[in-house]
Amino acid sequence: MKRSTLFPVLIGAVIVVLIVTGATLWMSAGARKATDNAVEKVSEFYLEELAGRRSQVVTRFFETKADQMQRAMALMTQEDLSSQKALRSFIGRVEALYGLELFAVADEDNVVYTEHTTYMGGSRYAFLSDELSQIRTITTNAAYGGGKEICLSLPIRDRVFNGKRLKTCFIEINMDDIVSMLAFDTQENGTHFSLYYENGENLTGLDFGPVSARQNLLAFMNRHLTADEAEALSGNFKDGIAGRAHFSFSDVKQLLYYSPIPETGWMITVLIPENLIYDQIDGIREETMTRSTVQILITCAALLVFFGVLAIRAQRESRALLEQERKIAVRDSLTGVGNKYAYTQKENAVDQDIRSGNKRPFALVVCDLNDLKKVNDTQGHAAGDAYIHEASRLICDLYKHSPVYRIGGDEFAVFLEGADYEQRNELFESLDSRSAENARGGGMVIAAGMAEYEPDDKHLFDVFSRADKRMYERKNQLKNPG
Amino acid sequence: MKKKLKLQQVLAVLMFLLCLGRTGMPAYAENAEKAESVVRFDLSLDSYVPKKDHYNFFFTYKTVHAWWDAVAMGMEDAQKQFLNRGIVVTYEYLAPEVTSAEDQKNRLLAAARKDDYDVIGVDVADESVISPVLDQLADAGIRVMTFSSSDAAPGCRRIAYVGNTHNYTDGANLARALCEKLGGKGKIAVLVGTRGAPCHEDRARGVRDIVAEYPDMEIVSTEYDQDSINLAYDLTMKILDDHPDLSGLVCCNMSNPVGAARAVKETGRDIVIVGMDHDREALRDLRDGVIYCLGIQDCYSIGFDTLQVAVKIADDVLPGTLYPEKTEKPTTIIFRQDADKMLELLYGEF
Repeated sequence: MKRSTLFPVLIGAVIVVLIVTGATLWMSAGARKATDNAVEKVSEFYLEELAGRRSQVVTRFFETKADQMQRAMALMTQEDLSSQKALRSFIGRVEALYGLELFAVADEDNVVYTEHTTYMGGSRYAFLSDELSQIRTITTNAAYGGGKEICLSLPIRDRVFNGKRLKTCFIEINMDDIVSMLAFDTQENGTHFSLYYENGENLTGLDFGPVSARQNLLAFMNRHLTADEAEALSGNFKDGIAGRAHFSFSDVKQLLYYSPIPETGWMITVLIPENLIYDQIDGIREETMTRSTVQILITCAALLVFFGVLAIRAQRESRALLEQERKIAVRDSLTGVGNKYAYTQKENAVDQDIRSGNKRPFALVVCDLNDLKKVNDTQGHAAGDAYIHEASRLICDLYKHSPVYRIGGDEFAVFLEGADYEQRNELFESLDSRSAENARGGGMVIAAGMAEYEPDDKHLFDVFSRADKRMYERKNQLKNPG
Repeated sequence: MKKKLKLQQVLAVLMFLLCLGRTGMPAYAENAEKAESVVRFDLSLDSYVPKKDHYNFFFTYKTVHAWWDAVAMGMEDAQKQFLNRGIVVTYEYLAPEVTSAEDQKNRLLAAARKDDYDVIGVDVADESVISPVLDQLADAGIRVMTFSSSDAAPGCRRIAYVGNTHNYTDGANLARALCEKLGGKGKIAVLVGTRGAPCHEDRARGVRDIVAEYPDMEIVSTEYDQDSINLAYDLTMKILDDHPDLSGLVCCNMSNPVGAARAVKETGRDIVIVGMDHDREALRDLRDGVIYCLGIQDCYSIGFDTLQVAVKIADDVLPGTLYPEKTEKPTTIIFRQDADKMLELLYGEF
């Protein structure tokens, strides 16, 4: 009964704990994945913002310069076009006015006029071609000497110099100005920035994280991406499409974000070690996991306590019920004394003690209630039952310290040990004298016989037999006084 | 600075002679480190103090081409350095779209008539046409100089020359490299630049003389591309078509090897190409093994020193202690192993 009650409780407890733990872990894993996704999205948004802001700075820079060039051309008078000297003077004034390093105009024969020089520009500047000279361009040339020549050019209308139509004005831009404007050298929190040309050439002269300024970014990435990824990256650079690439360098995962700067053929690039992102969230994740673990432990502990208390209570109730049932099983329902089954159990126990030689002295009193049939027949069974009950109470009142058994309809046995055994004769005399008196006065007569345990007795039954025999002898005496 | 430059020049000549003594060729760039010394970009003005605070020059050259743009870079840096010293140097640096000695002659005469220039300089397109003109200008008291790749004819009264003084040797060196590569036998063709241009004709002559030393080698064709890459390509295609057994090509100017390499790549023929100069496409072909070797001239130094010498000529300082009558500029033969370094040095290409 104990095992059958506890086992399901324990199994239930384990199942509930497993379910709670599993559910919590599953939710934690889901939360972790969701967090990672969110972090990736936020990171990309962050990098996009960084790149976007800097891209706008560069775009505004070129817009400002283009505006200055247009204003400069608006200032040009016919007098400024009267001679090469006048034109050079005008160009010098424009450069001083707007702080330009080089301002120049070019005619239809690609002759370029600067403040101090007149030279052929056709083989030097792609923007002087018939097609490009019609539009605004920002060109990046790999100039002889290893430098990058960045030029912003605008078409010119209705200006003639020396009999030739002026078609283009342009300025040369120092990349250092753009780099200092973008503050690339003050890298933010391990985030690196740079500018690359569409063919992967570095424009800033600054190292870009693990990519040295001398390295071509696309060539570098070719070594760290799959063939498909590298091809996609090169395609995006060539086509001016923003994107990102994940790669590892020296066992550090890196995230490259790139965004085109309109009109330039440039890509602004942002590089951030991914561990920088995850280091930030690992603390949060650890805290979350710790909380989840604590939550699991507390839940499990609460469940264990709950099921433990439940099991103990169930066990107690089970024991009480068992005891009650056991009592019912060994008790005579009419008198409340031990029944025949209880006496048989007692007999077995005593026989075992006798066999083991450990039996202490005891005596057995066998009682028989006279005239029960007569009461039943004349007064009814209820009166008979009351008669038995009264007899039982009388015996119990007399033998206060000894178990009493109803071993037959009107037959009782009293097992004497201890104090009752010591006073067995007095007690028996009391019972017997009362019965003798009742026999004379017409009251309840209980015939009793007593026998002590003797060394030769092998069983309780031996004692019982002697007591039973004496009881019958006494019964006859009481029926036939005199 | 003057001493420094002279020392460099002496060292360069010594190296040239040493190389000639060992291999018969000058200044091979034997490794990438040496390639860095082929072209200098760290030049500074010498200690000469100009007499005026403003100079105005006129320069004209053969044709609009990237080679002369490289020369212009040296000129522009020298101009900036003069400006930093408070001396304004203005100049015109002009050329026709297509090489023409007549056009050059007209430009020179027009500049002389303008009477506004302290010095007139020319990269001679055709010495037979231009040398008399220069003499005419000199007789008129106009200061004239030659620069870049082609000097005037010997005896011309131009004041000085800054540039390549060894075009014949450059051609000979390229031809020898090709002949040795081919094991001294085979048919080759020669591409030249502008007909009559001294630098190109001298190189072609050097090629012919060296090839003549190899009895089993034969020049089967000589063509002029007029400094046009497209024409160089067309000519090469025709040569390849006409001579299925061709083994090599000698390219005597900057446009030749670019056009020749395009044609050879397109046809897939196994042709050894040797050529001149630093065109970016040609350097990439050198890197990729399409071109066997290239002769690199120091264009930047030519431009830088041209302007320095012009200022001294304008101050009526004649060749002597302050500058030589011919400022020599070396040519270095580079091979495939030097290509990457040269691309990085000249174009920032890594």
